[in-house]
Amino acid sequence: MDGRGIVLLGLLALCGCADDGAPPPAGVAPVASPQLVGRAPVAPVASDQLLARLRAQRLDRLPVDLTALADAEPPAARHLEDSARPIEADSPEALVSGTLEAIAAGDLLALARALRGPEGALTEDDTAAAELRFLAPSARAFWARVARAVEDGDVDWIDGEQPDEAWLVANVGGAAGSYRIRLRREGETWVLAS
Amino acid sequence: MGTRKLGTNRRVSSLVALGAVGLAGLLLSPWTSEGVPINDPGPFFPLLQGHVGEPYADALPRGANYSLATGRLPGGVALEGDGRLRGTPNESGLFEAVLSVREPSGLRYPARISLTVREPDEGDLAAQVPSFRQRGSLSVIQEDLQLRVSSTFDQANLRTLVRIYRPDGRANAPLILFHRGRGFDYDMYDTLFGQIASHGIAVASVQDTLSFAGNSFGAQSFDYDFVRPELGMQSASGVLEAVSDLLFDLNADPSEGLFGAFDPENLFFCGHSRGGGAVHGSHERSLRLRLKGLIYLMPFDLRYFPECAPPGLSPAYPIFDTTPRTPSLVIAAENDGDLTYPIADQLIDRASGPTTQVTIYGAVHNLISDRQPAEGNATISRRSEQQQTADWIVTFVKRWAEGEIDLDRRLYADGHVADDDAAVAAWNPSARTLVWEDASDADDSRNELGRNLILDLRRSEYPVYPGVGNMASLDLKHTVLAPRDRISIWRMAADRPLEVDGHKRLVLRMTQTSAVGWDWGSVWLRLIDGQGSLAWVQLHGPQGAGGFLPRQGSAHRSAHRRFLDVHVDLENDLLAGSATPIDLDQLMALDVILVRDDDVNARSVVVDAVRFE
Repeated sequence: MDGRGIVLLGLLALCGCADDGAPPPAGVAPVASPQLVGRAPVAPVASDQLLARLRAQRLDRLPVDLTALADAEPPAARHLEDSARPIEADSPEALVSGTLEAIAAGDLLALARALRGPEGALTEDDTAAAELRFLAPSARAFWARVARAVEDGDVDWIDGEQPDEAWLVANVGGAAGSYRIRLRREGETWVLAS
Repeated sequence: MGTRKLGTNRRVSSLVALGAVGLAGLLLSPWTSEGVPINDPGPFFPLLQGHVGEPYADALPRGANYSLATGRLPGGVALEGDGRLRGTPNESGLFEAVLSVREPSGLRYPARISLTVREPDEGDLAAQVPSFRQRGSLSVIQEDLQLRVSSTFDQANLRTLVRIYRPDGRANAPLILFHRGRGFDYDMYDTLFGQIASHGIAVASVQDTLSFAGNSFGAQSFDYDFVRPELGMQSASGVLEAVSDLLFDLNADPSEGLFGAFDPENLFFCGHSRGGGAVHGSHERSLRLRLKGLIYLMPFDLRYFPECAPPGLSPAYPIFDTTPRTPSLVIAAENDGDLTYPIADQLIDRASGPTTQVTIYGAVHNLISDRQPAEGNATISRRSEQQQTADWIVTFVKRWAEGEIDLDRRLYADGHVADDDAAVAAWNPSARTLVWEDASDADDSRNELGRNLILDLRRSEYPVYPGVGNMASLDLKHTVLAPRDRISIWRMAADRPLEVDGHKRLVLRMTQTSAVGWDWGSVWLRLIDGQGSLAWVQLHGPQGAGGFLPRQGSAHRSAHRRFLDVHVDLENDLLAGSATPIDLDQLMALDVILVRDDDVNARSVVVDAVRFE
């Protein structure tokens, strides 16, 4: 919780606006009690232990009424600097080659840019998407097979239906047979579309 | 029993049988002139579950006239002529019936329905349910046939080998029609299918040299195998359908060795890999095919291919966004190195009927076979992968073929919460299921029932699946929570008090995106009623606290990045957090509270399909 949250939380407590979840005044029964909920029997788990954990993490002090505390607007995605080693993307072949190198180097920022395209500042959303697309364990398995096909020259480049579109067909064998990767051109730059 | 397919009259192909079955020659199709097969079991409709004493409503497809032919509905529930079912059931159990359907054209055929009614507290759901990981008690007859069939996809004629696994001494067994994967042969799955058959279920494994390559042969159609693989999978679907027709012809012929071996009312299609893509094609037509269920094993998803997006690029037929209601089981391998995540994982998001998605931790694409080497990072043995796969298939088939509704504990309820072996997510709604949030609307600020509030986290709605192939066309979304501080909250608020006291459980479909599983901190739920009373649930915490989510460091070295269901029992799992008990008939908010103890490794928590069941 940031400083703003702590201040507001304190104000709520002082004003008495928070109810059951507010910090309990000294001498008052603890907010969280081992009383069972609803229909009995409830909580076969060790209730005291659970309550102790709740308190240890100070969750019993969380406000119940979030209306005043909650972020009125969703926080914007944080902006990030581009990689110092951007991927060259002036052709589909260069983009794929650079992408494979960036995966090997774990350069998430460069990969995020390859996925996002040339416009706008990078954000944490771009890196999250790039992590899923390139660096998650299963994604690494996917790209490792693409890399092998590229290295073996076992790929086909196909023009898309649109003039600014191209497909890489990586003949990876196995059940999949091939992976198809769509690229599109934005201005002078190629980006990975799918 | 005769052939099962609706359509025009045709002549059934000749067949040559190897092994126990002798030469049989030409058989005539028993179809009637109306295009409805003799002894047609009819389409199968699993209805919404019901609960005793609670209002019930469901509906069969509009436009036809329905009447009860055999069997019965639960007391208190009535079928109306237009296919609506309404009332208040007054007894629990499994109710199966056959309806007589009359289309406006005058066409008549039967339809099967299945309705499970449970006690309001679901106390009738068995606490202990069996596992089928070990071989069953029946010995297995294995035999090879060579059949000549005409594919229902492109009418191509082909000869195909079929290996049959039959439980010895059991007639009228449920039948699984199986299609191998690309690069696999039909006879590479003996261990898996032998184990399944030992539990009383017949399996027919189809070679199909037409649709895509095997291990020992190339495909007859280069186009299907290489150029347009989606057509190969739809072709494989057509071959499976043709083989099932022929097998049921044999099954109906007293002169055949297979006479009476299979139960036409309990036909399941199953496929591995591209064979799973074939199953996807057959799922689309499962009502017409009279299927009881679909079993996908590390499957291709046909929507990977833009050619299958509606309206479909002919001759590919369209695969729609939502799957028909026919029960389905989807098994994915966590470390699949061939059809890598998420190709097999988006079916659960599109389920409309009873669906179970199982991701076996440490499994890979190839190890359900007997011979293909592991292609990915397998952290379990071949035997373990085969046993687990067989276990799930037997569980699923026994549930739907034999009416063993106690198995619902495993397939659709809390039988596998925080399981060390698999991530299990399911969808099997009842008439009372109340969805609170599924991130499917266009307004991030609201859930299905009220506002979303956030404190110290970033909440976004986007697909957590990477957009491979054409899958982005499905427009799936999840709720992604990225903590900004040590403690953060996502609140699902309700506009008006929710009455959930009559529900059994709160279910959330969850995953996370760190490399260390869930052990970067704690996850809590907090329920709040209209008076401000609280109830807490710890889903996860240090040293395995909570127990609703799997622990890192448990078996198979999983990073636990796959969706699984968390089931919170509203009677037994809630811990009061206030001086007065929470009133579950005045529920106002549900908080998901994240406590981040490991700043370095923590990433996002992903939530979907939040509902009361």
